[in-house]
Amino acid sequence: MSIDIPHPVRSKREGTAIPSLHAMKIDEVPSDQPLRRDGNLLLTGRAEFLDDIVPRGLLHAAILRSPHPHARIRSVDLSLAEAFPGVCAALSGERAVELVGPMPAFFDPAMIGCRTFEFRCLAVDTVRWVGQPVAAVVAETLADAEAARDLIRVEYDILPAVLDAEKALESDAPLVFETWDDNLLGKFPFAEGDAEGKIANAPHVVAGELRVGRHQCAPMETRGCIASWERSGKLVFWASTQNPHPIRTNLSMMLRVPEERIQVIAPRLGGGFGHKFNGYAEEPLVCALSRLAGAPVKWLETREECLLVGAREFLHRFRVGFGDDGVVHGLTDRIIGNIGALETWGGWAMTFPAGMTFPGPYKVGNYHVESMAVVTNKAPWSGYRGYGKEQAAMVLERMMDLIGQHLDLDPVEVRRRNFIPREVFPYWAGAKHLDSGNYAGALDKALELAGYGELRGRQALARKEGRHLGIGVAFELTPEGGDFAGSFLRGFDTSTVRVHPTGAITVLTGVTSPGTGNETTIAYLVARELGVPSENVAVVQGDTDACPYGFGSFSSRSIGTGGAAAVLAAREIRDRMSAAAAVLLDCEASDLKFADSHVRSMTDPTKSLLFSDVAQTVFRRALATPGLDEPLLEVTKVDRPHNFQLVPDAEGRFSAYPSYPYSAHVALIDLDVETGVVSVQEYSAVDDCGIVISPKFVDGQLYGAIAQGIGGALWEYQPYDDVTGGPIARTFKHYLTPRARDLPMFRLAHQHTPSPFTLLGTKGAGESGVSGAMAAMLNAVNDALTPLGVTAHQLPLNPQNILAAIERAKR
Amino acid sequence: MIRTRLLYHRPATLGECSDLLAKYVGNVAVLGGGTQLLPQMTRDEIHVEHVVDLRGLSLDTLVFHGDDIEIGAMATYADIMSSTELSALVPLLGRAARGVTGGSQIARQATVVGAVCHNYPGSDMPGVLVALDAKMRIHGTSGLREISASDFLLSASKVDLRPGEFVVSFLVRPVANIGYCKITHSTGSWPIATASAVRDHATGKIAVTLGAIQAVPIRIELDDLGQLDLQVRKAVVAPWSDVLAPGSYRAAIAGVVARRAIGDLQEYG
Amino acid sequence: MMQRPTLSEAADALGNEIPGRNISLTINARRLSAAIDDRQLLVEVIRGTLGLTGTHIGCLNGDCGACTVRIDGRIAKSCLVLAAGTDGSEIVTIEGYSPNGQLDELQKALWEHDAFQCGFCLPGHLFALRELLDDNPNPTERDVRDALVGNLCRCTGYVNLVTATCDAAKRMRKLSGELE
Repeated sequence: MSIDIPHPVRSKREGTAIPSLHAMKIDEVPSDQPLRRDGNLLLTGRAEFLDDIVPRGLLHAAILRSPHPHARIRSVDLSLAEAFPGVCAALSGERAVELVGPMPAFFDPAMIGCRTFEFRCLAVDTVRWVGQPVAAVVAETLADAEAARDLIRVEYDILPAVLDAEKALESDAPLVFETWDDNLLGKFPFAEGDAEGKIANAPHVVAGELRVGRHQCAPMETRGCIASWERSGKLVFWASTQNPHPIRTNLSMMLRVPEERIQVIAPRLGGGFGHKFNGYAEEPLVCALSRLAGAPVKWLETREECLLVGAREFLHRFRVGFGDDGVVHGLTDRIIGNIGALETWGGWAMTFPAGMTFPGPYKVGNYHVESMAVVTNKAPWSGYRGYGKEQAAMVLERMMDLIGQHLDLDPVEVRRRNFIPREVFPYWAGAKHLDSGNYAGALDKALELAGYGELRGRQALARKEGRHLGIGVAFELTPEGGDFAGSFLRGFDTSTVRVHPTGAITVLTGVTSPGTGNETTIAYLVARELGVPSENVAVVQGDTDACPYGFGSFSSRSIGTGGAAAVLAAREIRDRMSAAAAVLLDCEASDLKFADSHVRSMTDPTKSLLFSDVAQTVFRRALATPGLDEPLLEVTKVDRPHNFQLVPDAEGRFSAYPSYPYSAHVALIDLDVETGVVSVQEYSAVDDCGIVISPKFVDGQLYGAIAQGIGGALWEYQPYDDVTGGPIARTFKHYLTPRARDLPMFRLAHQHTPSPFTLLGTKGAGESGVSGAMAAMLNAVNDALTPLGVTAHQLPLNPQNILAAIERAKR
Repeated sequence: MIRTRLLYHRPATLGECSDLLAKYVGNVAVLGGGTQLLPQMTRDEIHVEHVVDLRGLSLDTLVFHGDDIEIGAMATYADIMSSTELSALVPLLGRAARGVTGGSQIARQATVVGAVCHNYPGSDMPGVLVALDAKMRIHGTSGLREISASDFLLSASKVDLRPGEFVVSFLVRPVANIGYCKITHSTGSWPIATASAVRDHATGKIAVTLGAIQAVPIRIELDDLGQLDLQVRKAVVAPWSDVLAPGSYRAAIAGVVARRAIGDLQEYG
Repeated sequence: MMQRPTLSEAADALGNEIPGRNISLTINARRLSAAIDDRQLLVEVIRGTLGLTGTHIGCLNGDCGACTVRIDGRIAKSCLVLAAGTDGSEIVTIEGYSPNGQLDELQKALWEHDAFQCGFCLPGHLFALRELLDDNPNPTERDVRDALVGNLCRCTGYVNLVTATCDAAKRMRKLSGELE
């Protein structure tokens, strides 16, 4: 089956400036790139986030959470809480089932044949994780809601709990869900060829284990939502969310309110990263509380509650067989993801790309990867930038370095020998139809940027002085734009472009911005199509009353879907306005150019009209003046990358991700072997996400992603207490995200191999960097430890874990 | 948020302060810089209905009485660091203060005495005060008393303060030769291990005080530097475990920090 | 410290007033009087009572710096201050950062260098960086990173914050050089 590409990659209008398809330097970008929108508001404290919204009569909710990892609820006594002064409502699970139906999952396991469970907004008879909502109180002030909450009396019968995923898989493990016969949500195999056979016959085999400790998003703004029932019966719901439309649909189902009578508004987000996917209990809960209290109710996630939400915890057992030349013959990885107690949150599915991303950028025809999603009594996962793909990157990049170490070959050379070569794209590689790539080129560029040879020289000198520098090279393939048909994670999105009589333009789009700047880019793209300044284009996002149905932000999709749809819509409007202007100017529509706020004949520049005049004339004279036949200057379009294979092809191949950006990373660290403390000295990366519309914003995304990857590799950790069964890190003093002094400057350079499958040649930017940074740190630390014969495969690579690895090697 | 019906007091005299603390014993907290107290009250880890602010007692001074330097309870890390006289006479204080986390905001809001009274093992100041042989000057309903820092620091998060009592200042003597070493995970991390090395001016002997390794600081007098590792191993009997690091790690690096602090003293101190 | 209230103690507590007082503040150069509860943190009063929502809450633990304001001329984390103790203080929030409504060189540089993304941590960072530049007109990269240790950002990796600040410092030195 061939891939359908209905839209030409280039614009029909040769006159409009489109970035060259050749590699571009940052300083060659057109100077009309707008600054990030609303900077003036953000810089002066006038930008509005969720907690800044204060409807009249607002009340505050506090949630009582389970102190036990697994227990039956014997009774919930709300009476004292209800009697506390200032309290307006209180709710337990038993009462809540009448008000709120079962919660739809962000990504329903049943869709892929896995078991699931019915989840309610408040626990009814059983709690399965420390932190699970059990009851809620609403009061006039947050302080009183919290004080009243302390007076709720719950009686529990403790049940055995299991926190460790491997223990959860044992035959005598306590069951997290009593209707299941074990704790395995699903097992996702990814295999081609005969990996075991190839490994058995390979001249060399290396095996290893990699443990990734539990860590998470921790955005600066925590979650929050406000529910307000208007007198008309309409529900207005504000949420710090990445997916307002799916929330609306879900609320409609859970609250049994017609969907058209619900408005969901996602205000500006203080960071998302997947933490703000929808599917949380607090969403319908706050609506029910508001209904009970007869007033708007706000709930704000505390930092401690925010640190409950998990996002990754994995164990890998891998093997790789290879030849004397370092070429991989076969590889296997058995992956266990500790997804916690499931719920309806958006994270468990990350166990799928964790396996699917293999074999990454490498030409390996024989691999067998199995990724298991295991439920335990830890708090569940929401999404997190990287979305599981960083797991494959870490294992593959360790393999490359281990092969190099084994053969005494530069690990850079090992990668070169294993890369998928640039000539073969588009290329099928294990559940991925790779669009385009020049992997070796990116790696070479990164090595040059980092001064790799000079780094090795410095390392050798340092070794003589007894200092341990480590150089980590890592390559990252980042599948983006995922489409999971059957869920609300789709690979397309919708935008409306509307021209007003005064020539102003509004774009209404289904994609949202968690702070990435896509609204600025979308405005820029539409302005460019219509030849007007960016400032004349308003972008409306996040309002379900105004915007076409969209799926929000995830999987780095906003420009490739909503942005592309906006461009298509703008082009059609331009065609309509061309037809009108042609009548008014008495020339051919094809002769007209839209630039500098004018519509001008290219052959006779004296024939020109202001863009705004064309617009105004259409409204005032369409269907009256002959030839002005189209009165509607509003178009809605859908677009998506055209590289999906959502129905298996003749050879049974399936690809849910259409875009494959990639990056190469080189890091230099200094490791104090007496204490295990790591200091990140230098960091370089080369990124290729195809055509780049907004270079500054793409760079910004890379910087942030790299920082999160470094944090996740070296310091961020959410440990669980075996006695209490709950998470121990409650504040940023416990959960160490990187600060300015922990990080060096990041050097970035770019390569541009466009996607042949997207309207603009873009591939998606936003997640790139996390995988590469985690793998680069892992390799750098191990590189520093090579002279001691030590392997460090326990993340985070904090001082105690590194020192423990050193001690183990001594024995 | 703070969820008790908190009443704020700002006494104008030391006596008034002690009277308030005695009157509301068990239900009152001392407010110094507030950087530890307020978050704990916000999370209801400390549940009191009265808070007594020391701000009105003029305790933010550094007084140089001849050989004794008296540093008031409300003196902040910034006050310590900006005193040129103090830097010359007791460089260890400024040296440790410079490494405290939280940015310049915390440096100006947090107090040394507050950190010592809080006595969280993973912190700098308890170890520093023990190394300097500091004396805590305490005011109670019967007036003033003094106690050595090591006696004051009872156990993790516990100090010798009785009903009605609060620390007004601590006293130190000049110590010129010092060395300091601190190990953290990353910039936001509290200390995992600290070591303060001081050389006695009269005897020339070096003492090293380990902080953050156990619940309270451990002071080790060294007759023979060659015995350092052995003495450290003997001294670390109950290493402290917390969310950032297990006791086994602290025990493993205790000797390293001690040695580095001494090296620092010998090279720069 | 007091134990959690027993059921009867809790019952006794019902009906008690929440202790409060009026405090006089100068906020962004305006003198006003605010009615506060003794238990309120300064950041609650700024955001709630005074409606100045540009100051943000990120952790309530003094770690993230999103609540940074200027109190009596120096920056402080307002989640670590009891409002009751600020009577008579002069407070500047982000809304008062630019009294004449114009962006200063630092703000312009941050915007031009794309030093912020979601912007949630921005007001706090602005205060920290502004204080750095006021104290040290010629900071090194290290100085800038040191000035930021009290503030957390999750979006930017701090890269452009550092570049922008050094650039702003350069431009400000040039401007003041030109004035002399």
